[in-house]
Amino acid sequence: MNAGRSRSEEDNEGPLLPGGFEDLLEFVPAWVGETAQARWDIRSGHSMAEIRHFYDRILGRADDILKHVEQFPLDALPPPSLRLYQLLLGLAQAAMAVELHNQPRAHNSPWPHYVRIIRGAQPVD
Amino acid sequence: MNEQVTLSSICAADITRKAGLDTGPVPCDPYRSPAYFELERENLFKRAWLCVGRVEQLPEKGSFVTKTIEIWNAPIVITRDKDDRIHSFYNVCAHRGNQVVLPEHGNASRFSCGYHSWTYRNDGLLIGIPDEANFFSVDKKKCGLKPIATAVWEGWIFINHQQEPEVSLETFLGGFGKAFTGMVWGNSNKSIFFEARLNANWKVICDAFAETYHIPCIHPATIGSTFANKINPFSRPISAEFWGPHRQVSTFGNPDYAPAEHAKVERFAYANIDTGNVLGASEKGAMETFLAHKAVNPTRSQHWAVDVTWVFPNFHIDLSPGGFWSHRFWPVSVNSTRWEAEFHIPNAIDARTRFQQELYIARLAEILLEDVTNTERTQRGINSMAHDVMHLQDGEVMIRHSLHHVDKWVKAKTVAEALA
Repeated sequence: MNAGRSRSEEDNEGPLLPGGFEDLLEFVPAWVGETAQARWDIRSGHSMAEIRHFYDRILGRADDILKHVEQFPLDALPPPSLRLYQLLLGLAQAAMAVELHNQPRAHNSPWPHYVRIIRGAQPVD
Repeated sequence: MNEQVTLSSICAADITRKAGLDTGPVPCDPYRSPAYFELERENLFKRAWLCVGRVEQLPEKGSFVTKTIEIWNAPIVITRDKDDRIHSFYNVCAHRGNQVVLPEHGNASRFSCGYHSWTYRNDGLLIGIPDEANFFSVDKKKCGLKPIATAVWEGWIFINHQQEPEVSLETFLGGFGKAFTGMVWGNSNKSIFFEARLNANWKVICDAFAETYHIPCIHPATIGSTFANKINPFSRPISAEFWGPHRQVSTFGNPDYAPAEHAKVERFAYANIDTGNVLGASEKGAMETFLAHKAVNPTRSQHWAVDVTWVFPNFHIDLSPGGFWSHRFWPVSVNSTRWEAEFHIPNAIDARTRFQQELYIARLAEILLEDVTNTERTQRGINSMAHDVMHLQDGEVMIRHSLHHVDKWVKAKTVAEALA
């Protein structure tokens, strides 16, 4: 019986990522950030080796992820597909470290700091 | 090729003298003196028109937003009434001073104070006092929400602390307002919003976004190669405009910028999208009307990147090939400031575009972090009293112009005198 169960409990019983993306399960939930601020925090808190590993694996599947996500309206992604897409969005953060800074965080910038992304882009926080 | 000749054909020279400004060092005291800050509070921030946002943030009749104007020590509420008029009020109950509207935004035709339920219409009128018979002839007409002088220019909402402002918003904006009339403020109904409370004087933070001399140093990885190249290694501005206390500098963009070979994610994100440069988020093709405006890239330079427009005293509007963004710098104390920045982008139509926007946000966050955290180091240095003055170069002309006009307002007896 499912009666009385919350939506999130049901989600928890389903797959974490859509079929065919089991190779990315190692990044769930550590790299799944629900907002741009959360994804910024996640990248900033990882080591360069961890960021590079995430970057390489997600970049290698980026086209597949886009192809999968494009089956659905962006504002109505099923939970496993949303998690998958949030991993791809996390790649944008990983790229800052790998492609720009060559270190986990911006040069000469403190961590933690007070700059906050109060509101990111839409759809998909 | 003689690089010096090429540079002079791109970038205006002697901007500072042409603007009628001195070229000597400028004083540090306005950045650290508590007494000067109090003069700024009374003579500048309580007399100038201050931008608090855009009308799209109040999208419907009944929309409201609440804010705190720290330099006034005032909680305020901005409303759109049933006749689509925009009002601002002190968010303070006439009964015993409690704050009436608590949510940050919402929609309501009336507001009820949480303390004793005095009730106000969204045009400020007091319409209900519970157990009114037990009061001593309170005149309800005189007990509405206290209005704040409010005016709208091109969709931007401005407020003034003076109950009857000495000059209209139109007069205050002067030539700047005329030059920017008819601008297309695309995607202004939504924004990416950044905020930080920083331990630095408000002018230190304004200044950080007012010159490009710092770009190769502070932002070597994030935007260094976007805004400088071999011909213009120190990112000198292309041109400058001044309108009374308001000002604009057009900054240089490297026309040969392309994502580095190793920047695989940047190449993936921008595979089918051209936003002009990495600070823009809207596709260039969609921006034609905006880009055709005379105030955008006013010299029609092929090396144009961004017009940094500083509306006196604490408001920046930046125009780029990919759209516009704005900063507001709210003084809290002599060395603390609340900074807010809003970047306007379209709703993503597909997953790749949304990903490109995420890369845009990620890069912005890095750039802004580099800028604003540097301001705290600057303030500590200024506070040390190691130096009495700062040395500004020609490309830092907006800082000099700002200090000149701040000082004029601080010392002027009337607004007319400050604007003269």
